[in-house]
Amino acid sequence: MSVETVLDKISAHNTDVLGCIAKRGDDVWRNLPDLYELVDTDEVTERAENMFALTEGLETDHDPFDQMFLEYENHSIFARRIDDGLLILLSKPMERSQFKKMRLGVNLFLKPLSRAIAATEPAEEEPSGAIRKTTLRRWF
Amino acid sequence: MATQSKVTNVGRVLTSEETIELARIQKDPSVIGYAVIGLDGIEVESSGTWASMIAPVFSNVFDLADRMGEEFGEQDACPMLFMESPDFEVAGLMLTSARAVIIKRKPKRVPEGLRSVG
Repeated sequence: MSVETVLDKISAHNTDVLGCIAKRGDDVWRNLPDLYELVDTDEVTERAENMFALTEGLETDHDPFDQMFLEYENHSIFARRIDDGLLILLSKPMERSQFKKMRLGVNLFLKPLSRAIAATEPAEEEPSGAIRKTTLRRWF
Repeated sequence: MATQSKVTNVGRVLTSEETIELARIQKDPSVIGYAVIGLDGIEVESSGTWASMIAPVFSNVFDLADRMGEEFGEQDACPMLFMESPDFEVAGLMLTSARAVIIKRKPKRVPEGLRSVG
């Protein structure tokens, strides 16, 4: 199964799911409705990665934070680290308790997604000398 | 990382209801720490040295959450966020004029080999 197919299945498995984004390194796959055409998925995924990275120093003796759930007025966002990347799921607004039930269904797709991503050739690295948008460059 | 009960300075930024709720939350044995962060990102109160590390980290986490919401057209700051690791849960809540971060330890995981028993 391709990454796109898995994302299709994740988006279709629950009517409250609006779409999703997967990322590995510089590769980003998006499955979002046209309404979100202007969403900068690089920005979104980088912010999610930075949020996870920020918390890494809090508990060095334990496994790092690997899931987050954000409640907004009009949306909810779930982000989850997967083997080699990140899954971001956009849904209609819901409370976390409601999402926890839906998450069980999402979890079923995590392994297929990881496998699909692993089977994809990584994007070519930018030529040496190119200025990359690193996390640090975003922060300062 | 034991939670010390000291809800003192928070009275400056929390309503009385929020102060009472924070004191109540601390009594939950699974809560191992908290921090109250002003909307300027500066820590107002925390439950101890370890918890005070939370304020600068989550001040940035909240900021990133707000900007992530903006990407999807959200006008207001992120009112509530949760982060989870296998051992801990963190809740970040927008209050009237501050943000609170509550850290809970998850119940101990059942060893993998015992999950299939019974």
